Amino acid sequence: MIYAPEYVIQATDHREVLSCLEGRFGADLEMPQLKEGEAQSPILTATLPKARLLEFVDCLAEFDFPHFRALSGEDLGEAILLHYDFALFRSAGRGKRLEISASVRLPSGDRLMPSLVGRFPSAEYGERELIETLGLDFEGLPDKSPLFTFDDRGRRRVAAPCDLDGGVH
Amino acid sequence: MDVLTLPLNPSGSLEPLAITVSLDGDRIVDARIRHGALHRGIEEMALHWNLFQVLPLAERICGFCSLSNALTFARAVETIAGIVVPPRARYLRTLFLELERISSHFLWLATACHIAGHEALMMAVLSLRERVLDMLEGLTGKRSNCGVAAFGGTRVNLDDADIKALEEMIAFYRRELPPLQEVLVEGPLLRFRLQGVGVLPKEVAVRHGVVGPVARASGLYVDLRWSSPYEAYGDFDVQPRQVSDLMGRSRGDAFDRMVLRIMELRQSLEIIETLLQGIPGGNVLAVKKDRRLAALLRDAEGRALVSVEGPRGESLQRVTLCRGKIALSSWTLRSATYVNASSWPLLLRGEELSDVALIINSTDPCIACTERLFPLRPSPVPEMAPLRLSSAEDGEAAKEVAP
Repeated sequence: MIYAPEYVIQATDHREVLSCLEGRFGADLEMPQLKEGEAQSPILTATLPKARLLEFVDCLAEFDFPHFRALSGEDLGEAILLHYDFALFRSAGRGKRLEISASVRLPSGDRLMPSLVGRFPSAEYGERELIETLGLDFEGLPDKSPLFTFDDRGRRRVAAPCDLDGGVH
Repeated sequence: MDVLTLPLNPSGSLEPLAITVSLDGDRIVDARIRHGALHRGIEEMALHWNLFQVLPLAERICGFCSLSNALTFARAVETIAGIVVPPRARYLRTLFLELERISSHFLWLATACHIAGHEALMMAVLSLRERVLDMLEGLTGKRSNCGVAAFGGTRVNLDDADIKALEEMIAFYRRELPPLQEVLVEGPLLRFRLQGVGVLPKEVAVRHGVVGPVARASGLYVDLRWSSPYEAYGDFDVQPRQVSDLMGRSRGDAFDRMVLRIMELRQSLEIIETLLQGIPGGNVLAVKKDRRLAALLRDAEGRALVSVEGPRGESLQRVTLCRGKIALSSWTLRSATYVNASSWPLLLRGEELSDVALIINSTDPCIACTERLFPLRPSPVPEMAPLRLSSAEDGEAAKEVAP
């Protein structure tokens, strides 16, 4: 799906965004929370199943073109926790921007995620980096070659022993 | 059409990047960017250190947006620990962020002049930059990696003499910037070289989610200082600068990116002047005793996602702290270049080979910020191929590394 590449100039109320997402995803949207404070920008956090990630992103696009900010992952041992960070209402006015942080918990053994590159070309680096760091696979990612680790022949780069024992200092 | 594939080594773009271009004559038909020439290991290193050690490490992610990175980290930790920064420290942080922006933008201008072949102009811009570096040295003792950020405030305070010196610096730049702008923007030296090169249309900029001056030069009205004001930016009006305000139109090319940075230099001076007029009194540290601060950080638990509008754009960090230790559980850095780099192949397509360095550098890339991680982890990645010390072909003897 390709969204109209334009930012809205009129922001929707942040609570309305939250209630719309809650209504659409019901119990699939775990721990939805809207944090607003002086120290941090307004941020909407939630956890959702991976099967509904693309639908979640498409739902965000109904409010504004979602700005894809970052994709990061944490290895919790029994699962991998992926964080998809977006921003809405980038151009909608002073203090109107809303950050969205959607977490997806991948159980151990499940390494396949849908790729967001078709929607956001800038997601490519984040996805390729997670292939390297956490051994994930992304369905629909056109280029799965190593991003940071390669040698002169284009293969995965070698590591020195000191890199592996954590004794970098 | 005969297509020649040409690898450009790191020197091809003045940055440690491997760019492979496919050429039809001199015209680029495709480009492939490969990173990996500059491993930093910063994210991994930080997990072995305590928070007080990580703060200067965060400052050393990049020399030119050092304060942005350190402040982003400090703000993330403060958010989790519930530390409220005193008003004077918020103003000082904002002031130093703008000084850093001035220093970074001047350096970019000098690099642009160098790549365009105007060495004398480059030296003139660098000599102008000296004034802000002298200012930083006078205020903090260092010209870069100034060590301003501290958890709960700043390590630096200003006295009346410092404020007077800052006012003199503003007066200096107010005097020196207009002739420089006349040469760079209205003169032919750079205009003929940069106009129409590396065009990034507004729609493409939105789709690729580009940030910072690159986004604003393409006509996007985006700036974290405006849309999500932090520190003292919420206390006065900061509007994103637009090239169309000065030139009457915006094309999103390398020339517009230069014009925008000159406009932002003036904006930074205005912001510093406003800050100096309204700087409140009081402490610059929320928690003065290190032991008490350590206790606060030891009790802190949670995640925070914090971003700052650095000189190159949005610098984002996700920090996770666990109760009981003054250390990170996880740390993710995303620099502006990490996001903007996805647009490079598009910018290069259709351009001439001689413009590669010019186009890549027009986005003000920082590979040190981008290649900050350590991606080879032995334990949690069972599917990974064994790591080898030798680069010999498969089947040949290769020494495996035991994790």
